[in-house]
Parts: sequence; structure tokens; C-alpha cells
Amino acid sequence: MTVGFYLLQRLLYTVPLLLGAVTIVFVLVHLAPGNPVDYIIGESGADKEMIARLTAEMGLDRPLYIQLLRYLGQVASGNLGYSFASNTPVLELILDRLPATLLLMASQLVFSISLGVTLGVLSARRPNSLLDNTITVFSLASFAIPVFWLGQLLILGFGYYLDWLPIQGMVNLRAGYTGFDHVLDVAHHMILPVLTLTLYNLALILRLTRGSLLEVVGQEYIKVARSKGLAENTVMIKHALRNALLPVVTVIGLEFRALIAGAVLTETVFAWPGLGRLTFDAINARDYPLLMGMFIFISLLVAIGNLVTDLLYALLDPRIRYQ
Amino acid sequence: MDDVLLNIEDLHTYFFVDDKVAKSVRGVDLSIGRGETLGLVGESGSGKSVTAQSILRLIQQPAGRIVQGRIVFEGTDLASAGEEEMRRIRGNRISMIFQEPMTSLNPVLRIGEQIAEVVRLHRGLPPREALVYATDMLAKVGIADPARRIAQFPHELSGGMRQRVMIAIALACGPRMLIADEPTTALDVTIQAQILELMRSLQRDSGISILLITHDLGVVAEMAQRVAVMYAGQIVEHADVASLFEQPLHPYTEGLMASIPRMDEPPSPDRILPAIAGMVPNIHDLPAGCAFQDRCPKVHERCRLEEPPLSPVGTTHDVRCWLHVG
Repeated sequence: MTVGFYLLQRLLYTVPLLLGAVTIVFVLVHLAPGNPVDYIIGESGADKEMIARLTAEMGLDRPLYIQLLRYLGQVASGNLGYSFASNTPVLELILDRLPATLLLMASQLVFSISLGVTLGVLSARRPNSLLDNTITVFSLASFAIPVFWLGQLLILGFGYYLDWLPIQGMVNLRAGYTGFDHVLDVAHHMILPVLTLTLYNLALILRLTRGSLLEVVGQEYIKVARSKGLAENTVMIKHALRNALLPVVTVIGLEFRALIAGAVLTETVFAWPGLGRLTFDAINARDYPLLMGMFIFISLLVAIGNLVTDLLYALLDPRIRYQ
Repeated sequence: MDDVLLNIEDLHTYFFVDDKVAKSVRGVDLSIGRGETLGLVGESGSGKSVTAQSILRLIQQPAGRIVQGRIVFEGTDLASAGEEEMRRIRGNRISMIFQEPMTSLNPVLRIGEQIAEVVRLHRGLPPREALVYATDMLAKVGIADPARRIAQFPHELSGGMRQRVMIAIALACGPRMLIADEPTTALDVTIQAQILELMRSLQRDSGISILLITHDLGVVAEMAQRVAVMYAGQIVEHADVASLFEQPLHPYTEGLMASIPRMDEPPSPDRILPAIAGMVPNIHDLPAGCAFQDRCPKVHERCRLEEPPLSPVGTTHDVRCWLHVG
């Protein structure tokens, strides 16, 4: 089977998957206490007529299944609706915020994978050595600390006491940098959120790489590789690591949703103008259309993440074929 | 002796785990001549694989250590050689093939690359030529359509073919010595015969010496000129193949011989194959005296007190047993 056909097939599978996800989330969101009308009226205490008018305007007076069907029909025609809170098209809001989130996630993936795999290899080369134990303690600690708290600790340390790094937002609004200065400014703002996410995800990748490598090193083909006269580094990188990465890739793929959850928390802590922050605000405002649009996007991201994982897996392991 | 390729003297290899010492090899002396095949026989845990892995210093680190003895190969003591020097010898001057062809090849690397990397490493061939060389090696070990096979992965080959690939890897650099650790144990009898025949014909062509490790006396009878029988980390009997099969002296060897099923005699009435009673002694806690005492049908007083030395009986036969000393 060709890769193209496989891809098409997998993309078709995502349709029922998304449909299921949207339905479940739709029901959950509407079951949650409070609704957008309450949010809009706030404490002012509007009269009953006003509330009824607003509710009817938003279509919230219809039975839930009618609302769902109408929403699905709308989504199928490519319309994600308007945000209740800002009256802007949902798609526009999301696409506006997407790059910031992708930037954050891609950077932390690059850092946590490269660092995690490197430290994992160092750890597995001499199990139970001083280096291995140091790395273990460090990784368990950074894994055990909740992301939002870790973020705040970093803000406190590097932002408040040391005052080295910006702690909020993506750019320095007052400076209004352009061109390369703008890139540097964004990079500067990225350091703390990326560090927070990297520290968290690094630990998992590191532990997995170490464990998987130790298992692979016990295999007979590693003994064979040594009996060929290959240097220890060649044995580890060329013969052991590629086999050891298979489970690591799987878990990174499965943890993709956790990465997104981590991004929501981290973006909130650092006021990063991305999807996570947008979701947080949408939940607070009970902004149903925006919230639903967000969930569709996140589901799509997770589905793409899983697809990429499967493709990578087949690339790493010749025994796996597309079918 | 000019025609000796490898000489092992008083080899002791121990494993140190959690304050315990497993004395896997306890004073082994062996020598292999050029072009000779030496069979090393014994049951699981007798120390034959550890002896073989000591030669290439592939013992599991950091637990395993050669604590005593010399392994002299073409004038170099491998027991004390540096790691760099060992790497130049492994896969180049001395090669090894292993028991499990299904797991000895790396599942994610192409067959061609697994052969070619050895030639690139030791012969310095450029990648393209190394691959051509790999194809030739595959043809030499009797694999049909080698040009197609080099692009395949191990899972696309049968067990017998994989063992042929292993042999191609081992012989790629024209080594002087091949250590074959149970090379046919995991194979069907027909494939087993083919692999043994392949090893014999390659030996005729190249004059390579083979250390053949096996628990199968039939394989030894077919392949080896001399045999050493190992038990609990020591050699208990050492002879040329003819005299060992004609007249096994050590009770352990006798037991091994008796437990071979015979096709030329009717089965015993109870149809039970004779076996050696008991278990291999725990190498953490060996008894005083002879290591075989608890399983030996001919055990006597002296066996429980003193360990017998390996002593000559005739010109080509040594045995470690009080029945045959003095």
C-alpha cells in the first residue's frame, strides 16, 4: 500500500473521530453551570425580558439536540460561528492565535526531545553511576512539579528577583521592535514559557529513552555489534538508539494531548497570546462558539499528532508497513 | 609450538553481583591450532560461553571480569590488551557467531549495511565498494539472489538465511579464528546440516580455526578434531575426537554419551533416555572437592575432600577425575 493511500484513509478516519469529539464536548460545555447570558449581563441585574431576548438571540432556548444539530450543520459548511464575547468570527480568532501556540509547542518539542534523548543516552551508558543518578533525581523532580507552579517559580526567580527575563506576553509592546529586533524580542519572551514546558516534558522523554535503551542494550544484536569491533558510541547511537526510540516516539505521540493541556496552563501563567490563553478566556466567558471552535482545533491537532507518530514509526521500523 | 593460534592459560572469569561472586570460569587451559576445529562441550551454565566471550572480552560489564590468566592470540595477550586494540581484533582477526539468528541481526538495519559496516571499519573500503563486497560475501555463504537480499531487512529472511548472513558478517574481513557459540542450536536439523557443511567448506578454503561451542556431541563428532568437556567452570576432559568417543573417561562425559538417543539400537523397554541425575552445582557455592561429586555414580571418599587435577592419560587425553589419576 502506498503512503498516499494510507494518508487518505487516515484522514477519512478523522471525520467520525471529530464528529464524536464535537458531540461529546458540545454536551459537556452546555452542561457546565452558567451560560453566556449570565456573563454578558454580569452583576447589573437586567430584567427578565432582556434575558429572554438574549437567550433567544443566541439560540439557547432551543432543546440541546437541536442546538447541536444546528451547530454541526454550520460547522460542516465551514462556518465556526461568531464569538459571543467579542462578536468576531471564531475562525479568525483562532487563526490569529494559532501561530503563537505552534511556536511555543514546536520549540519545546525540539528542546525536550533533543535534550531528553541526549540525557537519556548519557544516563543509560553507565546505569547507576553518579551521572545517571543525578540525571534521575533532576528529571523526577521536574516531572513531579506541576507546570503552572514551575512557571510561577521561574517567573519569581528569573523575572522578579533576578529581573533577567520578561515574564508576560510575547513582545515588548512599548518598544515596538521591527525586523530582526522583533525576532529577538519574541525569542527573549519565549525563554521562560519554553523552559517551563521543556523541563516538564523532558523528564518523560529522558526516562523513556533510558529505560528503553537499557532494554535494547541487553539484546543479542548489540553483542554482535560489539563483536564486530565497533566503537561503543557507534554501538549505542547506530545500533541501540534507533531501536530504543520506537517506544519513545509512540509515547510522545500519545502524550500530544498532554502537551496541549500543558500549553493552556503555561500560556495562562505567562499571558502568552496563544490558543491556550484563548481557551482559558473562552471558558471564563462561557463563550460557546469560541470554545467549540477551540475544541475542534485541538482535536484536529491531536489527530494530526497521532498521524505523524504513525508515519514516523513506520519510518523508524522497517517491520511496520502501512495497512 | 608454531602452529598454535590461540593459547588460553589458567583463565578465571568471575561475575561480581551484590557482594556475591559467581566463578563462571575457574582455571581453563585451552589451545587451538591453525586450521583446527576445537569443540567445547558442556551443559548450560558450565562456563563455555563465558570462556568464549572472555576471548573477545565481550563479558557483560561491569559485573564480569577476567581475574586471572592469559589469552595469547598471535603473540598478544587479549586478557590485558587495551580496549582500542581489542576493537581492532574483534570482527577482524577473531569473529564470533551466536546462537540465535533471529535476534543477532539488528532489526532496523538492512542486511547489506550490517555486513558492509565491518568491511568499512576494518578494511577501510568506501561505502559503495563495501556494499559490493557484502553482496559477494552473501553469494559466498550460499544465499541466492544476493543483490536483492542486501536491500532487505532481517525480518524478511528465514532463520537459516539469517545464520548465513551472520557467517558472512563474521568472515567478511578474513579472520584467523571463528568462535561459533551454539551456531546451529536454534535451527531445524536439515538447516543445521547445511550450516555445518557451509562452515566446513569455508574452513577448507580459508584455513580458519574454529572454536565450536555446543552441547551437541553429534555436532562435535562431525566437525571437530579435538574436544574439551566443561563442567562447572572447569575442563573435566580433553581429548582428540576419536579417543573421546571411543573411550570417555570422566563419568560426566560418559553420562553425556549415554544420553544421546541411538538410532542403531532398539529403545530401552521403558523408553526413557538415560540422563545425568541432579543439577549443575550452584557456582556461588561450590562443594569442596570435585564439582561433579553429587551427580557422580562412581563417587568415593577422596572426591569429597580434594579437587582432582586435570592429568594426562595417554598422549592426547586429559581427564580431571580421581579414578584416572596416578
